[in-house]
Amino acid sequence: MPPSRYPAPSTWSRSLRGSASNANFLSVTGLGVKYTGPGQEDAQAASIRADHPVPADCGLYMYEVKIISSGKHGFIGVGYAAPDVALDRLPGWDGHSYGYHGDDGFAFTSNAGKGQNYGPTYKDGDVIGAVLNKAQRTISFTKNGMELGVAFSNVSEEVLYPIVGMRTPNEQILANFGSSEFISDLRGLQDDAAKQIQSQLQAVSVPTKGKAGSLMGELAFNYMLHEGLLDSAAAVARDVLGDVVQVTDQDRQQQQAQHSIQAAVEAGDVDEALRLTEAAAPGLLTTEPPLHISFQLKVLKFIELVRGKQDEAAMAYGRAELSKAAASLPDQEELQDALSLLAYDVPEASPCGNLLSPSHRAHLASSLTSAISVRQGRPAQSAIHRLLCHSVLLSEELTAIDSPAASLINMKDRLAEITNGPAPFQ
Amino acid sequence: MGRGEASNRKLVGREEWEKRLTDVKIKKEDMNTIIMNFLVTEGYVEAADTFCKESGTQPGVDLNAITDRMEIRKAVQSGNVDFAVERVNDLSPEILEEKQELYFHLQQQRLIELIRLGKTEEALEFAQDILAPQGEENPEFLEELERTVALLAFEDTKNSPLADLMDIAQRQKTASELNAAILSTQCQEKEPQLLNFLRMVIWAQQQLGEKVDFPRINDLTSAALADNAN
Repeated sequence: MPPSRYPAPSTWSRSLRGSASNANFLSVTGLGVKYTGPGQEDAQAASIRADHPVPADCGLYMYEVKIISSGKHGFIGVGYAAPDVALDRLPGWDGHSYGYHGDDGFAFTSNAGKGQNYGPTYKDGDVIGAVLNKAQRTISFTKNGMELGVAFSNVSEEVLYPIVGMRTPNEQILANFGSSEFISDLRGLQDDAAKQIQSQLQAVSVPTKGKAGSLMGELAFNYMLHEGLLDSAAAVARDVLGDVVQVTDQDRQQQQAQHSIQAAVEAGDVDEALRLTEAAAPGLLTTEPPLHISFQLKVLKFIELVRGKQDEAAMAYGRAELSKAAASLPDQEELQDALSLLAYDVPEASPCGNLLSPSHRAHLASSLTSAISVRQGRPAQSAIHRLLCHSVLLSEELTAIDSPAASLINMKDRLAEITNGPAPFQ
Repeated sequence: MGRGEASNRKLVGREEWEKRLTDVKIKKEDMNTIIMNFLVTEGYVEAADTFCKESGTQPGVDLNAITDRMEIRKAVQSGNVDFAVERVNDLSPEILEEKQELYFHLQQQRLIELIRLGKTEEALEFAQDILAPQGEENPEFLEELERTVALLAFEDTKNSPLADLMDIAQRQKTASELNAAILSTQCQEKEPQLLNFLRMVIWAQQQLGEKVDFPRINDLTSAALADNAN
């Protein structure tokens, strides 16, 4: 799982124990808590909460509690509770509170007063792990490292604190919020939780009945057409799609035109690129307000003059065309960057030297061809390109809402793996 | 809704989403890789070869090694199930012995092809002699078996309620299942990353939809943004 953006529980919160009347029934020493009250009746129970709730973006969380002493009756409860749950009760004696009790092994939640038969009892020397799976909305427990299974499902509270409670004299526990090694296999539990999501993912059905019979084949065909890889597109049409679709003459002409424009921009031949663009998409570059891309092309022309050491011509062009075109831009930075090239003997090595790089021209070429596509009434991007962009936003948004499931499978890294070829599931 | 739960659904409008989409940078090489992986994994050797030459994307495996797989896939896709079964048994006979469901689907495809060719009597015989016993042994196949046999009752199968079985997509489905089975015996990736990716998109949209109102992509083929849910 990626690192959390939130503080995790690290110790007991001294201010969050018991109620006003029985706060002093618990004596706290670091991670240790001991019941020192009278312990005669249920009203004398006392619970204590951790300093922070389980981090919102944590898919699977666990802390452990070691039973130092069962005291008189071992009425100890370990679990989770929402922020406003009363602390003069044992965990699980109220709604929004969940507890596994040592004396009877029952799992309690809600104020019905009756627990469910859940696991073994626990006493001196036992270590209880409380596991919150936010993705599946379950709470389960471990005893001495052994998994006891799901105790509570449909756990809907967004904010839950680790909580322990005691009720008879000399009961004593020691918590571990991860500062020492756990007895339980947290890593294994997290892996299992991730695998559970993985199998849910694997079970998602993708509609395969596109109009040409194969969604993936269509996406490949569409991508190749879009990228001007017409031989590949034709091969996919034949091989994958059974010739339901075809590469048309119009596709070929468009591709030819785009290819020439791309080549002109990449060669730095701006005049030729402008001429071809005007032929392919009349008026595209002379629209009002002017497109950013036409300014960028002018900058490119200027840059080519600088590259050719035609400094005077560059200056003249800069005055005549660039400063005028830049007037409509929201900021002048781009213009300044380009003009600054004039100041250097070796412009390639200057801070704005990237403007002279082939990759800058390639980027410009692809922006231009996209703009032409749109002008011609075609999508600016291939469907697969759009889907990939969409998935990046989905991942960002899932992170923003602290999606436990996305965090468990580390969606961001998964997306990266998908484009990097095979990656075994971890 | 419990205490401490968020109650307001966050809203991201279509215009904002569109704008953010244009800011995302995807590398062309990444797209090439995902497409190449699809072609190779699914055994489309010729397309992979052309794509390699035209885009410079390396297939990452020896394309010759997948020729067998391709031939088998092609056979199913062109309706020649007998030939495919023969070739699979040459390649590794255990595949069809171990995978009963796959074997059933191949036989089912065989029946569909017979019906397509109008060989009604042969189809009926095949259904009674070969398919029905399989269905008796494996009750989970029965429903599909019955649906397929029901094709015989329609003169114009293409306009029947069972038209999906006659569709080219049904051949693709059977071919992909067989292809995946061969791949798994060869310890290769069974499914293209593209499929995993599409699953993730659908899954992520579901997950996000629980908390956020945002424009979805419902039609994966066009990848067009739909309007917000409400």
